[in-house]
Amino acid sequence: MTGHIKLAPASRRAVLRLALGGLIALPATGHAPYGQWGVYRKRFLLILTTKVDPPSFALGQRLAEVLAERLPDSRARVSRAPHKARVASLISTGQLDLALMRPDDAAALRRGLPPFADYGPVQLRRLVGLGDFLLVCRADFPARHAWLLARTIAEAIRDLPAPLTPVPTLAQKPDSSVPLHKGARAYFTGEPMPDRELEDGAGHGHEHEAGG
Amino acid sequence: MRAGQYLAAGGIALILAAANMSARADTTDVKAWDVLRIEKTGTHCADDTNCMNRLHPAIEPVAFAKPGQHLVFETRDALDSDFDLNSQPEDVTAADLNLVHPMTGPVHIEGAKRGDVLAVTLLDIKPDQYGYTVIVPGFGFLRDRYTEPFIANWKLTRVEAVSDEIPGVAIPFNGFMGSVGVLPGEPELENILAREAALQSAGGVVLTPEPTSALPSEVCGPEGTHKDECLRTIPPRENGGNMDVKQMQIGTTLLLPCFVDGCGLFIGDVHYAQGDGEVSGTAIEMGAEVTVATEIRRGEAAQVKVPHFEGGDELKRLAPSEFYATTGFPLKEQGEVPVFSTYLDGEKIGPLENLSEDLTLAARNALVALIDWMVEEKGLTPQQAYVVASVAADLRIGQLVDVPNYTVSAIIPTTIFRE
Repeated sequence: MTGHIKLAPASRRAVLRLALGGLIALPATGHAPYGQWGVYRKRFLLILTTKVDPPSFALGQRLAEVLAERLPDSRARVSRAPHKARVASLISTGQLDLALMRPDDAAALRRGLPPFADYGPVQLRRLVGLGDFLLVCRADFPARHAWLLARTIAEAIRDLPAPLTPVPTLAQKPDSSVPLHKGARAYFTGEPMPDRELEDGAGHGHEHEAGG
Repeated sequence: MRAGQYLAAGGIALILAAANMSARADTTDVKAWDVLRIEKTGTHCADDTNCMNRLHPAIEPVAFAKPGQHLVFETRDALDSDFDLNSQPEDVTAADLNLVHPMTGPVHIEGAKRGDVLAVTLLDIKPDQYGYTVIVPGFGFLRDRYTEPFIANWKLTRVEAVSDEIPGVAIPFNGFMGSVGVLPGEPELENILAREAALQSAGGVVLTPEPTSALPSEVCGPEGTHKDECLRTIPPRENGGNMDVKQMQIGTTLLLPCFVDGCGLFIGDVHYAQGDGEVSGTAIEMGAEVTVATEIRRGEAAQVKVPHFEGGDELKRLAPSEFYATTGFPLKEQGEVPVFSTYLDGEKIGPLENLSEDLTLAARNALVALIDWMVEEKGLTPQQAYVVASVAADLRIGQLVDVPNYTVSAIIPTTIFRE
């Protein structure tokens, strides 16, 4: 891992607050009946897992705890979908941004292959690998947030190795089936936290170019 | 007893046994009604050719029925969910709101024409064994106060519902069709789309057509023939739909203006019980089997332009035998803009402590006072009390004349609390 920014705790906290401002300070508006629901889903960093894959839920709970401790402004929480198809539906329609998925499932969703043919292709990006799972997000997930999550989780893995077990590689051996998010890549290659949003293709979650 | 007597006694016993068997078959097999069942197949609406979650006149009927037939609709819960008795708040945050509401139908009523009224008499509701009430963040009457997800899982019988999440409370069964309606016609569709778009432009609360997960997909889905015109099922309209009126009890008859030939009757979103207001956003939601009978009233749509309903003494059973109630008036703190008024001119509303003729604010205040009472007197948490209010408390208009302060009461039957 290279390029970590070294900040004093106080200034680091200030940077995190500044960076997460867009995540936590959305106005409580929204005129559709579900507008406030959308605000809730942005106010809290919801980590989507599935009921049919209990280890994903356990890992999501642990991850939310770690983020709550190290990145409190993320207001991270775990969310549990009944099955994989619901994960695909929520991510592809932009109702949620973040999910813990098995690598094969993430690759299938990204390419719109079975069992997710009804939902994709989806512009899916990887933030980190966590044991048997990838933490994936939509491509339009803010780069600054991706950078912060990648750093926080990477540091948590060093400090709290169990039960968060890193994939042997994070950035070093990228899983080409699900590309690294630009914000996470920036962190793992030692770049500073983006000071503005990095564009990553279209501003929505549907893949236009297979393999992109 | 001699051998002959034993034989005689045995013979009599055989005859009686045969008679009993015959008697059971005699009554059980007698059929009084012509029944048409609209079955539920598959796990979710998307798996079920008898299910839809959008409204459009181009949606083809899934069944054809004669007036007078008993129609049994097998229905799904409002969220087309996978909830069960072990569901947790984490499951609520993963709800897919594009799936709301799965409706069974539409059923073509033979002989019904545009301009007729379809009279739909509710004959029976057979509840599932499981139901739920949720607080969905951002949805519900007090959405600014209750921002965390919550779920109460209910065990249902035809008598009452109990929940481990709200111990000490039992809610009596008063089932009704949360959603029941007919398809809109082309003129109605055009008008609805236009007026809702205008309201959205003005900042009002509107859900516009959403093709994602829309059913039937061939009409309303992303590749559907009318994907940008299919109405969402959240608001009730002239064609009925999500009216959520608990007084539409078993035995009552709903009158629906018919806008397309055959009317296109649909039913779903059945509620085991609900307070007037359904304040948390959900009642006791469940799947159910709903039996109705229909009658065509020729040409009466000229008078019945929106749903009406009629009945006998069905409302008596909704009356509490004992109760507690609070009242509310359109009063507020200076500087506060009620969440439901934020699309209006907040600059005017904010500084006022008293709003004029504001029924919604009066209802809110009555409800908040009732929840406070349940927390203080019954030991419920605020979330539990909000859910209990949603499934059992009635918001009632007291008066609409004593300007500027209208009165709303919030009434809770105290018999639901089991010490």
